[in-house]
Formats: sequence, structure tokens, C-alpha cells
Amino acid sequence: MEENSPYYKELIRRYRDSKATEEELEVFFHLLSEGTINQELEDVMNEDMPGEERTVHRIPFYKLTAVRVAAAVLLILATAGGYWLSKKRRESPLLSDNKPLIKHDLPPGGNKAILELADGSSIVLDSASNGTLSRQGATEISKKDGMLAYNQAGKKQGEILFNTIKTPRGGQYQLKLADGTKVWLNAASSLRFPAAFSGNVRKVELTGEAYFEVAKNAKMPFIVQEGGMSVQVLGTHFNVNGYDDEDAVRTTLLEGSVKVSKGGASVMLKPGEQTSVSHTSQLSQPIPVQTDEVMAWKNGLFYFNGENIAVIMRQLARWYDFDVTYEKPVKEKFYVKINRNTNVSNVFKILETTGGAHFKIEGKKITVMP
Amino acid sequence: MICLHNEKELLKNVAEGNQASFGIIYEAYHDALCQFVQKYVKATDLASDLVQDVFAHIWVKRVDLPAVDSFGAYIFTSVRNHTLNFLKKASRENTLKAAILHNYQPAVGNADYHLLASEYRQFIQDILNTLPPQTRTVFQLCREEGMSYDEAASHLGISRNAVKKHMVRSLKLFREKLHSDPHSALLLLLFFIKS
Repeated sequence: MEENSPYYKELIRRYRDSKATEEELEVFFHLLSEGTINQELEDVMNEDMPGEERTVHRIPFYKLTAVRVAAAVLLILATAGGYWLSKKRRESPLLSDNKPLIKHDLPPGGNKAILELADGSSIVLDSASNGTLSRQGATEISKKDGMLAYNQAGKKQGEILFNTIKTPRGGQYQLKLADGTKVWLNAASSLRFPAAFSGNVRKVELTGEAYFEVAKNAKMPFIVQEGGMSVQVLGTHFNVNGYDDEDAVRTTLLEGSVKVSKGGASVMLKPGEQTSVSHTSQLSQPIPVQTDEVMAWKNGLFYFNGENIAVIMRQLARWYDFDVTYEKPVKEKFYVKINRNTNVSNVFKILETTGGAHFKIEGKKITVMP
Repeated sequence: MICLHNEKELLKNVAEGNQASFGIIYEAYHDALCQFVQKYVKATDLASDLVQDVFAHIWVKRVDLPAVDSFGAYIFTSVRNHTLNFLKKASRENTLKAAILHNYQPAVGNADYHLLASEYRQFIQDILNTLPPQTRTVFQLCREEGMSYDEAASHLGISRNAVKKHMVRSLKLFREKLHSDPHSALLLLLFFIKS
């Protein structure tokens, strides 16, 4: 191997990842024009390619690159929609020895939730039939498929009646509040809200994760409270993720503007930005994030862009409702997009194609191995 | 690795000239291939052009498809080689280089250059020192002056390959056609190959 190969590859990868400085770009094109780095360029490009075409002597190489392979495949999976990855080819060395050990597979979550009314009674939403469910004061509550709608009839200023909707692990639900605000509630989450809004603010309390499309009302700011933090908006789209087992409450803005406050401090977010507040610390400065990654859950996807296994397993556990144990630490980072509407074994199959992790499924007990 | 569940059968159909099957394969692979190529050529339209060239080539050579052991590997390898050749060409042609550089958006957090191993930085600097100063021209035109690559090209007295330009426009038409009318979409594609 050419002595400078490692430098060449570093340069090519930095070019590929758009990290190269102007000077590096110049050197890159210069070397390319001299024909110096053809082999290295081919090698680096192979890192992005599926594993099948590799011959046996190159196997160690794709161990390093399988992550990107999986990413490429999954992007196709996501776009190809109806076509299933399903039957893997027998001859594929990557897949033949990478089957999750399955005793009892777990189906994906679905539209499941429990609604608690102001009088303490509760309605199981997945079994309730479509149509009008109940009344809370002047508000009629109706259900259609996976969505609950509150329709405020008059402007009666009676007592404020609070309702709470709770999704279990493996559940999600959509809800339209009395002011027209739409809320998508992710698994293992809850939202406490008034059946009708009155006064100068619209205040709701969240645990877990939800995405809000707040109906505009400049006179009545909408406030989401979660774990001592509050998000104040007039009318906008944003996501709040504050599960207890995550290290921080993260607010991500998609449209409009929001003010996130904790204690005396507050920050304003611009679209595409995220701020986080950990249980012990102050609000972070806004950072730009990939919103399609944050919003994947609402769009029926898992989207892991360089996540470690612990982050991934926490998300999966909420959707498939399982407990996880780690046999040994897994170092691999994962770059995948997976449809949420599939059995857990399919998700693990895809994660296993990276070669960096293996899974054993025994009912609700999942074991992770390197 | 990418397996349409009935891929073998689809490929057999394509070999026999079935355009609907070609459309299914095209849809399944197209986006991932474009994303792969775009990492190296940066510009979406260039990536889409290059992938399109390969699909067109595959259609022309469709009778060979049943003999292909793994279509995924076959098309990725074809696309890789085509992209490699394009990059080599771009390194020698300012117009194409400008097309790439104009679309080069430094990644967020790319200010880590000073954190890289000093050996690597020294290596880059040593090569840089051997370069004549005028090689910076295209970079400056595109990145500092904010010129489009067409502008930079004409500024440098080189006109952009007219056929390529024609391709870019027509490809959008091709993709739209493919959904509504696969038959004429294929005719369009064949037209590009000949032109």
C-alpha cells in the first residue's frame, strides 16, 4: 500500500462529508487530476456500497463500512414503500449469520390511549367505537380512528374541566384540542389539558413526547409545561421530548417561533433549532438540528443518524414495550431509517446488518450483544 | 442487499423489454443511488444526471440482466465507476469542478481542521506549497465571488457541455412521465441516449 494512503483517505472522507477546508479541496482536486488517489477514492466509495459485491478477502473491510451500507439500504426501504427487504439472499455473507434469535416476536405499537375525564372516569380509546364519546361542559368529545377531537360549542365560562390522555408503551394518539391545536402524542406519554380554553393563556402539561401544531391566537399564548420547563408560543409547530429516561427535555421548532423558559432563563428558537434542558442544568443555547430526524416518530419512522445503541433501545422499548439487558457494551453507531409499522424482529434484523450488534428476543425481554 | 422480493422476476421482465418492471426497479434504487453520488459530486443535478446515465445504459444492455448475479451490486458498481470517472474528469475541467464546488456546502461543525493530527495538516500543507497560485481561480470565482458555475464557466471562457444541460432539464420530465406513462418515458430516455 502506498505510504500516504491513510492521509489520502482521510482527505477523501473529509471531502465526502463536506468537512474539507478550501485548502484541502484544492489538494483533493490536484491529487485527483494527477491520478494519485484513484485507488483510495474507489476504496472510500466502496465504504458506502452494499456488501454483496465484496469478495471474501475484502470482508474485514466491510465490517467498518456496514453501517453506511445499512443506511443506504434503509433509505431505499423507506422510499420503496411497499417493497419488503424480507427475504435475504442466502449467499449474502452479510446476512446469513445475522438473524436475530427470536422466541416470541413483538408487533409494532398502534393507536392506543386512555382518556381520563374531569370526574375521574376513564375511557379506553382503542376499543371505543368512532363517534361522540362524551361531553365536558360545553365541549363535545368525539373519536375517529386514531384521533380524538374536542369541539367547544359555546363560550360558557364555567368551571375549568381538565382531561388527561395517556398513551402506554406501544401506543400513540392524535388529538385536536378545543382551540383547534393539533397534538400528536408519542408512546408512553401523557397530556393534561382543559376541555375548553378560557382566560388569557392556553396551558397544557406534558410528560414524554408530543408534537404540537398550535392554532394561532395572539391573545391567548399556548404554553406547554414539562419537567419544570415551559414552552410559550402564539401559533407554531414544534416537538417536545422529555421522557424521564432521557437525559434532557428537548424542544425542537419546525415553524414560527417559540420561547422556552426554565427558572428565570429563557431562549427563543428559530425554525430548525433545538434547545435542551437537563434535569440539573440550565437551558442550552439553540443548536441547529435535522428536523426530519426529530419528527421521524410522527411520520411513522425510526430515524437514527449516528445514534448509540442505548438511545435506540430506549426508543424501541417505548414502541414495542420490552425490557432490555446488555450482555456486553456495544460501540457501534447506527445510521438507519426504519418503518415503525413492523415487528421488532425486522428492526433488529436491519440493525444487525451493521454487524456491530446482535439481539435475542424472548417475549418482552430483549438481550443486546456486540 | 436491496432485494425487491421479486427482483429476479422483474429483471427477467426488463430483459424482455417490460417497461413497467424497469420503472419499479428504477424507483427502488434511484434515490439511494442519487444520495450516494451526491456525497461525491455535491450537486443534486449532477448526481441525478450520473445515475440517469447508468439507468439508461442498463436499459440499453437489458438483455444481459438475467445473467447478473446481484443487481444491487451491479448497479452500485456501475454508478461508482461512472462517478469516479466523472470526478477524474472534473479534476481536469474547470467547468465541472466549478459545478461541484459551487454546491459544496461546508458541513456544520467543519471548523475542526485545527484539531486534526498535525501530520495530516503538514501533509496537506506540503502539497499545497507545490501548487501554482492560479489553480485557486475557480475556487475564488465560485466561492468568494458567489458566481454560479455557468457564470464561472463563461468567465473562464468555457461553455458548459450543452448535452449535459439538456439532460438535466429533461430528466425531470422523465421522472414525471415514468409515473403517468412509462411507455413514453422510456422513449424519452432512449432519445437522450442517442442524443
